[in-house]
Amino acid sequence: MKKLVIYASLFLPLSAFAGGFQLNLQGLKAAAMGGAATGIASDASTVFYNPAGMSHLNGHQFTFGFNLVDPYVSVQTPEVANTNQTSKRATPIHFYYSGQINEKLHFGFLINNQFGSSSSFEDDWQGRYIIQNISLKTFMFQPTVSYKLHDKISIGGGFVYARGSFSTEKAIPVSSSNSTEGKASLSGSGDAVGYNLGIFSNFLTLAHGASSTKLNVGISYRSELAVDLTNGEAEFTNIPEALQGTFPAKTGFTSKLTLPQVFTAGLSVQHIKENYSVTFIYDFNWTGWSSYDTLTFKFDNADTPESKTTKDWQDVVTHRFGVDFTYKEKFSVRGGIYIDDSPIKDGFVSPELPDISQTAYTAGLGYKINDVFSVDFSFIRQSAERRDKLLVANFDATYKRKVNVYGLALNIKLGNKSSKNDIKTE
Amino acid sequence: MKTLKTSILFTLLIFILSCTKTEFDEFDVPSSGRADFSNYISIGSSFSQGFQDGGLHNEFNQQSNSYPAIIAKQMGVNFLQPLVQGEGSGYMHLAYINGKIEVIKVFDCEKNDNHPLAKTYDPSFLTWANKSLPYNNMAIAGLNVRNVIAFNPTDAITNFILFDSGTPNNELAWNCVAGEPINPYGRFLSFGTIGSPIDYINHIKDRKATFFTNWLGIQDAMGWANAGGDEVSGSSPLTPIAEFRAKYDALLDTLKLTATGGVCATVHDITKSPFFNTVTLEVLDKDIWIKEGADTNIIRKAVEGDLILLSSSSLLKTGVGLTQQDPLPHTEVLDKDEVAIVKNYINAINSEIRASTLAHGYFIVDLYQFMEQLNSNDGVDFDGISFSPEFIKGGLYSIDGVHPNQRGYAMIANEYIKIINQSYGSNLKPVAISDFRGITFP
Repeated sequence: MKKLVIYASLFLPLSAFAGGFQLNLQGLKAAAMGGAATGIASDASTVFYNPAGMSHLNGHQFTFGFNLVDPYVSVQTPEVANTNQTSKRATPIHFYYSGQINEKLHFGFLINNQFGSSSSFEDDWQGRYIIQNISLKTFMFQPTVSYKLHDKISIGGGFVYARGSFSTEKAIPVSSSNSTEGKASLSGSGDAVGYNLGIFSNFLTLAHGASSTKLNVGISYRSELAVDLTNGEAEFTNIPEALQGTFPAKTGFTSKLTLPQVFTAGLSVQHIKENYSVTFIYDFNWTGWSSYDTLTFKFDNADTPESKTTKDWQDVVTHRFGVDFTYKEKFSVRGGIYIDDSPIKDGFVSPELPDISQTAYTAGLGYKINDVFSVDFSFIRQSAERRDKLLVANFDATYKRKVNVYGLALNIKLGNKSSKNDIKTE
Repeated sequence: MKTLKTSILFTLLIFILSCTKTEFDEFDVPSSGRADFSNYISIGSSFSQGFQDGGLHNEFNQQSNSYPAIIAKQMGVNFLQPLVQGEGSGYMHLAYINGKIEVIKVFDCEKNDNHPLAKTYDPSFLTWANKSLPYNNMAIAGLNVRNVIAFNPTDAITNFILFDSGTPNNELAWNCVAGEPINPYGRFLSFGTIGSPIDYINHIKDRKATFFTNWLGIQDAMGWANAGGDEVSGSSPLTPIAEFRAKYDALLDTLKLTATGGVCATVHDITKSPFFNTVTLEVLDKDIWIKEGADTNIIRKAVEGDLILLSSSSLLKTGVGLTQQDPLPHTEVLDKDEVAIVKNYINAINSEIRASTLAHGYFIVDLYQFMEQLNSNDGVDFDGISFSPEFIKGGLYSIDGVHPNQRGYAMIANEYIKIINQSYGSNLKPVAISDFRGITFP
């Protein structure tokens, strides 16, 4: 338990960042290019995006990255002109390693925060019976291998161990004559296992004189992760004496949170000239959010009513487009766009996670310091508005959300530089 | 050079995009549309005075948050109420005794078995309210439509004795306090002298309202129903329909002199409140013997459709109603014929309320329909709180099972606001239900 507290304090959760609570920030070249990376293997983040892509990375490559997520969310209801979410900034991280073992085999590893969400409001705000605070943090660890089946095709796969922690607080509409209002605080953690598979092909290379054009395609799949919260702790405070049987000071609870399966198919076209290269990339991304059907808390105390919320999320498709212009293999400028569908149907949008369908814009820079070190910067801008009534709570609200995400990553490339030539000459 | 330019451009882009203002602008200043809210007054009975938990009290702003006061606040106008201090008239509350939640009734001077925790009136209540102030909330708990104007000397004397005469007789005087009127809740108005009584309607005229809300009519049905029906001593009769209409018309005629706008509310089906639906045969799960009425000697087993009043629960605990020899008195049961009478009566007066209101060019707030929704078994939700008509747990009604609590009144205020906006083109904002207190638990 202690360990978890340390996790929690080290890695802040991420605030309401579109696409349900999936964090599409796992590589900063991708983040700068609309989040697309499945059909390209440009750095060690391919361990996550498409494990088969590792077969196209030579030597030992490391990527350390982090993002600063800076969210601003405001809520308007028919009754209250404005309530600001008191969301804090968050800094999800990622670490990737890809190492070549021999001509055919690569080994890789990742640690990242693939899902996360948080939302918090002042304790006395209008929607306090729906949500005061909520936070979900996840941590993934994934040992991965890739294998070169053929000169032009590789496959890869990883075993995923996920650790999730969850906490939420909300007001309970009971008060006593000392005027305080009840409050429920729930927290718990659990783990899950899953897998990540990919296939990658650099199926076409056209060379004409000093220039060449490469076409790559990739497909990847990440399985569902069913996080069982078996050791949850619920605390009820400020409960009138007469109701303490129903809401005891402390009781245990269990719950389950299923993180969705994700399927992505992508392609990239890279045109290389003597002084520069231009890359276009596209990902078709499907996320199986329908796994988030209900959220249920079962309490150990028999008199505490089970809390069951219907989420009824839907599967969504995201289209991701990006472009990269690299000058003399040293300076890169990137841009992108993604068209993101909200998994939350009308009638289900809650201040807990006011997700909005939107088109978001991305940009980034890359700089290769030398053969070993390179750095990437990325920037994502989201700005969207949605009005919906959470039917089950009869809570009608307009949500306005702006998020800026700033990312910085360091890439390290070690090992035999000539191996690149070896592969090329094969 | 090229990369430098790109970097500058990129930095600029970030700078432009970084605008992070998401705040919504404040709502517009309330607009009154075609209405003139500058002198808004409220007319009604207990429901409009802010009465709840069987009393008029203000220790948690119960009276300060009466639904007319909420409406006035949203209008942005001054609204003077005759506020009681603290515990006011005394009120019912919940206590936690031996692991059970118990309803503690208001101290009743005529009973010698009052609960030791029973709350009585605050001493200030006997001198409550300065009669010379121009109040905006003119509602009086217990006010019937038949009391607003006297059509004959008998009416006049009845009204005077009800609201203003100092009654020496301890039994009739409120709370057995010699010199108190029968009904103390109109103390903020002068009803003249027995020789020259002042009609309630005269006070309404003097207030020169520019706008009004009116929810009179409930008491005309409730006085009879809450006493188990039957016209017996102590229960007030159902106001005859013709008299109801004539006096309702008279009231609106008076308002018409000054008020360019106003809304009148229909009467809800009071038999759907917890007062009539908490002590049920299903809950008791045994045969209950009842006496049918004042004028009959029929003693029979209670059947489905008979409504046993919430007030009978203490009698039932002592064994009354469990045998044919000791039936529940008729004042503790609204038998099923009486239920039909009340429902029909409410429909009848609602027709009169509608006709009179429209004839005077005012608008209807159909609280009959609105309360049907609130009283439905599925309940309603606001701001993530689930409400139902269930006694105590439902969160909608106060401890008396008849009157809403602050949250229930806030819902009613929002319904008025909705209709006022629709009728007069105003843009008053509704209030957040979660801003108001629910039931106070022990």
